[in-house]
Amino acid sequence: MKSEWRRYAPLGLYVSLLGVLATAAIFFFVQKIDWKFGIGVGITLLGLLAYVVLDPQQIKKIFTGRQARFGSNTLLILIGLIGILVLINFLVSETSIQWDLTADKENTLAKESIEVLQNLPDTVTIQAFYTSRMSTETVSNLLNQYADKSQGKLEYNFIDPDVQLALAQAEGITQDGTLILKMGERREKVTSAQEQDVTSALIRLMNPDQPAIYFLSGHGEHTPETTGNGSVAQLKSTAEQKNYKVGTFNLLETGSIPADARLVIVAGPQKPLSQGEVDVLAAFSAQGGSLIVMEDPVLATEFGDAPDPLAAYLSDTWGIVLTNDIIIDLVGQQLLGQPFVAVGVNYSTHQITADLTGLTTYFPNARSVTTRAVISGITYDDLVTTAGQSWGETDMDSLLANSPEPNDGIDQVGQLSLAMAAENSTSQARLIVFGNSGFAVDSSLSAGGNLDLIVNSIDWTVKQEELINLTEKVVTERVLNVPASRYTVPVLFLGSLCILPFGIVVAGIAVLIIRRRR
Amino acid sequence: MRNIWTIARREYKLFFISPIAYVVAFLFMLVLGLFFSLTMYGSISQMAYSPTAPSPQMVISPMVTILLFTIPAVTMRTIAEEQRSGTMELLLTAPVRDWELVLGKWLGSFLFMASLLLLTGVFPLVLNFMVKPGIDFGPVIAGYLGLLLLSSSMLAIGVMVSALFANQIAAFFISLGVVLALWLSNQFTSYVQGFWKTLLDFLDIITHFVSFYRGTIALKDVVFFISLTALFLFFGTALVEWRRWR
Repeated sequence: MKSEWRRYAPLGLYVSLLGVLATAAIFFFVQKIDWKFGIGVGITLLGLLAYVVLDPQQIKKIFTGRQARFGSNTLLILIGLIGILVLINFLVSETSIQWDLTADKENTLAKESIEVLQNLPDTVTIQAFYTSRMSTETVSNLLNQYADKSQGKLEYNFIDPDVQLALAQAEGITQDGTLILKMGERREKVTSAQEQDVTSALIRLMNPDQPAIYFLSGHGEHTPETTGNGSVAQLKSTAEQKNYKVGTFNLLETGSIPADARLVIVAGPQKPLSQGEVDVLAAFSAQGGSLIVMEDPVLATEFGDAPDPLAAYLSDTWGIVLTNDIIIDLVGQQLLGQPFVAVGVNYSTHQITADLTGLTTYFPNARSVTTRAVISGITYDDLVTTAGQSWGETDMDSLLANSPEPNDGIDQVGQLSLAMAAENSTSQARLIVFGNSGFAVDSSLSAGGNLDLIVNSIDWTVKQEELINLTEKVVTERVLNVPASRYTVPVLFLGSLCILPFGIVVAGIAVLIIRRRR
Repeated sequence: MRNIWTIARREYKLFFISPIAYVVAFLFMLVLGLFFSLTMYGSISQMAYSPTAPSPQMVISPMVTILLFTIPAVTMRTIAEEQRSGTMELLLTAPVRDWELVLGKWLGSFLFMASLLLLTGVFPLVLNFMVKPGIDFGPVIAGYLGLLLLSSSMLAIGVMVSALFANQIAAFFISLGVVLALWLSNQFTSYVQGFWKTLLDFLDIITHFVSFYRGTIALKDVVFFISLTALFLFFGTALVEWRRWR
C-alpha cells in the first residue's frame, strides 16, 4: 500500500470504535441480536478491515513486536485475575456470612424467621408496593435480611403504585407500603412490613393446610355462588387466593355444619334463622368453631316483628347485642350524600384493625352493636366505630316519614360501634358481629378499607393471623442528654464549623511557613 | 515490601507538604461539621417533644458523598504529577517494580484518607457525650470499616486513572466519571434484564456499602471492595508497564 494511504488507516480504527460503542449501546437497550446489532457489528468489521488494508505493516508489527509479547502476557494475567475475582465473589455471595455489630441486633432476624426461610419449599417473590412518598429504607433492610437468609429462594422488588397503577389495582393494593408475597399460585398480603407479619405470611404460604370457611344459606343471605347484586363472589375469590377453601351450606338441607368447617359466616340473612339452626351454630361455637355474623337493620330485612333467635343467642351467650336501630351518620351525608351509609373512621388496636388507621370503611344501612354485659371468660373489642356525628335511630316511623331526629335518652348518639370481636378463653371460639352485611358484597368490597377489614376478620377468626411468636427483641432507648443551656448550640456550631475545619487551615499555613523558613 | 513502604511514606508526607491535602481536609471537615451541627440543632430543638437521639449514622451518611469528590482530588496527582514533571522515567529505571510503584502510591493515598477519616471520629465521640446511655458504637465501627473499604477501591480507581494522564485536571474528571458510573450503575437496571441487570446491580458500590452503614459487616461486601481494589491496582500496574512497551 502506498505510504500516503497509510495516514488514513487510523480513521478505520475510529470507525471501528464507533461501531463497537453503537453495538454495545444497541445490545444494552434492545437486549436482542437483530438487524440493528448486525449493522453495528458490520461497521466495526469494516473499520478494522480498512485499517488492515491501509496499513498492513502496522498489523504485522502489532502481532509480532515487543508490544504484542508484553501485551499478551498482561492480557492473560488480566483474564486470570478477573476469573479468580469473579469466582471468589460468586462463592462468597452464595454464603450469608455477616456480623451484626449493632448492640440490639437490629439487622438479625429472629431464629424462628430463619428456620422458616430455611424450610421454604419453593421460590417466594415479594412485591413491595411503595410510592415515592414513603421511605423504603427500613423495609428494604428487612427484606434484604430475608433474601440473604433464604439461600436464593426469596427475592423482592419495589413497585411504585403511582407508576404501575394497573398492576397495583390488579393486586388489590389500597394502602401504601403493602407487601404481596407469592409462592406459586398462592399469595399473601401484608400491610405492615414487620418481621412478625412477614414471617407469619410466609408460614401461611407454606402451610398446606387449607382452612375451610362456609357461608350459611337458606335465609336470603349474600352468597358467593351468584354474581350481581348482593354477591360475595369477590370475597370468596380473595379468600381462595389466601388458600382458604370456601363453600356454602344450607342447614335445612344438611342438618349439620360441614365437618371441616373452621368458620361459618352468616352474611346478612333476610329472614330469621330458626331456633334449631341457631342451636347447631351454638354447638359448633361451643366446640371451638368460629362465627362471623353480619345482620342488617330489621327495616332493611324481611324480619318484621318475628323473633330473632340468632340475635338472642349472641346476647345471651356472648353478651353482644345487635341494637334494633339504623345508624344515621352525618359523615356519610357529607362524604357521599347518603346519611344511611355509616362511615367507620375509628379503629381499635386489635390485630384485625391495627393496620386500618387512616382508612375509612363504608357500611350501607348499618345497625349498631353493643355489649349487654361483660361475660366472664370472654374478651371484647370494639373494632370499628363511626365518627361522633351519628346516632342510632330507633323510631322507625320517623324514618318512614323521612324525618329522623336523635331522641335524647332513647337513641344512642355519638361514636357507634359497627363491629365487635369476642373470644371465649374456655372454648377458644372466636366471634365477630357486624351490624351490617352490605360492606362485604362485591359492589362495596373495594371501597376504602372494606376488603382489608373482612379479610383480616376471616384470618383472625380462623386463627391464621399470627402463626408464630417471634423472640422479642430488646431495643435500647437512646435519648439526648444535653445540658439545658443557651450556650449548647453555639458551642456545637463553633466547634464543628470553626475550630475543626479552620484548625486544619492553620496547620497548613504553619507547615508552609516552617518549610519556607527552612 | 520495603520499596512499597518507602514510596507510601514519601507519598504520605507529600500530602502534608502540598496545599491540596489541607484544602481537601478543610472542605471535608467543613461540610461534615455543617451536617453534624444542623442535625444536632434540629434534634436539640425538638428535644422537648421527641428526645430520641439521632443515630451515629448521620456522620457516616454525608461522608460517602464527600468521598466521591475528595478521592479524585487526592489521587489526581499521584502518578500524573510524576509524568508531568518528567520523574516517571527516573522511577521506571529505578530498582522498583511497576506494581510496587502503583501499590506504594495507592497505600500513601490510603493512609492519608485513613488519617482524614480518623479525624472525623471526633463527631461520633461528641455525640456519645450527648446521648444517654451513649451511642451504639457497632454501626460506627462497621460504618468506618465500610468507608475505609470504599475509599480503598475508589483510590485504586483514582491511581489507575492518574497513570493514564500527565494532566491532573483530566485525571480528576475521569476518576470522578468512573466512580460516578459505579455509584449510579443500579440506576440503569430498570432498562435491562438478565445478565446485564445482575452485573449492574453487582457493580453498584452503594448497595455494597449499605450493609456497613446499617451496622453489619457482610463478607461478600468486604470481598467486593477488596476485589475492586485489586482489579484497579492491576489495571494501574498494566498502564505503567505499558509505558515501557511503547
